[in-house]
Amino acid sequence: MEDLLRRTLGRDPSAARTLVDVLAPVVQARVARVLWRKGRTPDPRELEDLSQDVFAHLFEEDGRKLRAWDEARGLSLPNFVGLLTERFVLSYLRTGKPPGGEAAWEDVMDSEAANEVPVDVEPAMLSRDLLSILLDRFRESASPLAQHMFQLLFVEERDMSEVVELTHMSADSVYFWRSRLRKQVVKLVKEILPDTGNLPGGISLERSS
Amino acid sequence: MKADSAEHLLKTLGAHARAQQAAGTAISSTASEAQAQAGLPENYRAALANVAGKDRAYEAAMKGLGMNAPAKVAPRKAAWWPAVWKWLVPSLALPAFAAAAFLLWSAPQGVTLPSYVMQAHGVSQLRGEAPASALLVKPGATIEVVLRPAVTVGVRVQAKLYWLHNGELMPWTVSPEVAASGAVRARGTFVPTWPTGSGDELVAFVGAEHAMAQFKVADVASPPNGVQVLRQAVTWQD
Repeated sequence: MEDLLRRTLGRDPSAARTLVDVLAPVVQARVARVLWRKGRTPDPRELEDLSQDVFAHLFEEDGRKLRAWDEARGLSLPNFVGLLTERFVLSYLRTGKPPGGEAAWEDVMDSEAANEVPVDVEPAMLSRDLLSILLDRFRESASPLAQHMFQLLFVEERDMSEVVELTHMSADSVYFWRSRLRKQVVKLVKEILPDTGNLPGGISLERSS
Repeated sequence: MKADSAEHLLKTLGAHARAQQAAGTAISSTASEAQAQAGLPENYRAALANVAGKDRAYEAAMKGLGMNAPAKVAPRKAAWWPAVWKWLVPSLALPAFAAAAFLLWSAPQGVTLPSYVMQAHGVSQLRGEAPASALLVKPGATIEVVLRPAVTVGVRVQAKLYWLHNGELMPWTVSPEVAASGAVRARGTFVPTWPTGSGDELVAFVGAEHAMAQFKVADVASPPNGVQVLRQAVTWQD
């Protein structure tokens, strides 16, 4: 897969054709899954249009987003593309625009989010709808690697040693990612609460989308 | 939000994501291809089956790369064109072929790769640790070797790896992966067939594809032009 991507980014048309053939089912299925999660009626035309937009997004600027893929981090190319697809579709459905650059996420984490005014939220009291909104906003704003780290650390709850081995990162780097994810959550809560109303005592919210 | 509260919220979100993945509305980033494709409701599967071909996706990809998608059907030619073409091809093809052959033969010979360094470690050693002078290897444990160029390489690169014991090279049968930058990564295990101790080395040869094609193990003392030799002392751990 790495060789196929390298040849595609080296402007080999036949490799590009093969790569599109390999990735198209991945992209289409991810588009469908987001639409399903959002309760949309399945429409072949919408699936096709969104899939085409995703490919334009993946390959724009000389394939910059695909060049960011690093197999050593334990994320396969289809899963990497799948995460970028979900990110694109979530952003497009919410804002009508593609998501911002990955750089925004990485940079904002260390500068702005760290200075956010603290917000008191009791997670156990949040509604599932709000958790879904938070989770989708996270998927929309986080880089594929950030999402993969979230998957390993908080969804699969893997041991630190396992995460180190799977991602080929140092323990310090993994701790740093954990800290970044915390900052990301703080930022998202600050963004979402004004949109969805106050949460005194963690009262459930109505879905906003 | 305090740090432990943020951590708690992340854990809550993690549990919510697990529930979504169990219900099929979300996919794990560690899912297999088959898992990622499965589990959609029937109406979505039917809609996907009706999605038209991949040509639009291909065109979007080619456009992003600054290329024109090749036309699937050749455009019609004017009636005079075949005659001109018939005359033009023989008169231009031979010089063009000769020029291409010359370029293929001559261009790669002048390529000089940037200097490489070898970084090797057992998986149990963390990247943040200071590198030891000798690589500590437990027989049968996973070893990772990275050959990293000083700057991005513009040509196709190949690498071969060997274990050096008592002056004799034994091939390490791993399949090195080469990144677009020219960096090489090999990962695998090795169990020496000799009494282990110190004094052995891990030896890597890296060079442009055309240079490596001429490389033979017998050339170790004086490798062909363009092939770099990188060595790492090894201490076997009992």
